[in-house]
Amino acid sequence: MSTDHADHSHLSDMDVRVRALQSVLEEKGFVDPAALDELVTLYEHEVGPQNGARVVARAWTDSDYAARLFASAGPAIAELGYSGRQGEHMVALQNTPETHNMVVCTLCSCYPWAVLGLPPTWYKAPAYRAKAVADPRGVLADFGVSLPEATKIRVWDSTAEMRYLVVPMRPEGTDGWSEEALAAIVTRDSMIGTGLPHADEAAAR
Amino acid sequence: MTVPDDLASIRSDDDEPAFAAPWEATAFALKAHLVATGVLDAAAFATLLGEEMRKDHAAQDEGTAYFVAYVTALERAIATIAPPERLAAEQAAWRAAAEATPHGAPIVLDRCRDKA
Repeated sequence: MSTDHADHSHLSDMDVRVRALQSVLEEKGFVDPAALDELVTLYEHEVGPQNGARVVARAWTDSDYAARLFASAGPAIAELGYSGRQGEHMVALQNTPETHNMVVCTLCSCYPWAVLGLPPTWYKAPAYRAKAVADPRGVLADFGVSLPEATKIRVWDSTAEMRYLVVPMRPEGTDGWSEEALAAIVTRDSMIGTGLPHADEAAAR
Repeated sequence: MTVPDDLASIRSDDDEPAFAAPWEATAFALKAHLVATGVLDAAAFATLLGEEMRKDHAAQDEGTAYFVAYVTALERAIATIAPPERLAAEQAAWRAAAEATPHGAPIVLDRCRDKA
C-alpha cells in the first residue's frame, strides 16, 4: 500500500501495465471494451465449478447423457449451456474402480475454465505440476485421499488445445438423490482428480 | 528433478477469491478475449506463460506472482501489435493521468496528447 498522502491518485505498477495493455489494444481496435467488461464479470461471478458439477450430476443420472459426454464432451457440455470461448477441445475422463484420472498442466496452467472457472493456486504451483506426474499417489495423500492399491492412476497433461474434466464415481449412499442434490456434493477437486465426492458433504452445506 | 513436498501447505485455499486484485481479472479477461477473437494463439501464449512462470517473478501490488508472469507473457505475446516502446509510452501516460487526477475520481487517459 502507498503511504504517501499526496492529493492525487496513485496506480500500482501492475495496474499501470494492465491498463496500458488494455488501452493500446482498444485504440488499435483489437479489444472491444464492452465485451471485455462482460468477460471480467463472467469469470468473476458466473463461471465456477458449479457448472462442472451439474455436468457430472447429469452424467450420473442420465446414462444417455453420460454416453454423449464420454463420446464427445464439448457438445454434451454445451447442451447445459456451458461453452469454452477459446475453441479448446474438452475431454471427459471417467473414473472407475480400475482407473482414477488426475489432471495437471505441466507447462503452465491450462484448465477447463468453462466448467470449472479459475484454477486454484495449487494447480498453478510448481509443487503440484511436478509432483502430479512424478508421484500422483503422493499428491492424493497430500489431499487426504487414498485409493485401493489395485486402482491405476492416470495423469493427463492439459494443453492450450486440450482440456480435461474428471467425472468421479458416484458415491455410495446417494440412491434416489435429485440431480441438484448430487451436483452439490461434486467438489472442484473431484473434477480435477485430486479429491472424491462424499455423500456426507451435503450435510456440511 | 526434485519433487517438492510442500504441496499440502498450499492446497487449503478453497475460500480464496479467484483474483487477488482487479488488474488480475482484467489481464485474464484480456487474454481470453484476444484468444476468442483470434488475435492471440492459445498455444503460443501457453508457451510464453510457461517460460515466465519458471522465472520466479515476485508477487506485488496486492497481486500474485502468477499474474505478474501472466501479464509479462501477455506483453510478449502482443509485441507485434504493441511493441515494448509503445507500451512504455502508454504506461507513462497512465501514470501522468493518475497524478493529474484528484484522489477518489476515476482515472481516465487523455487522448489529446496524441494531437500535440
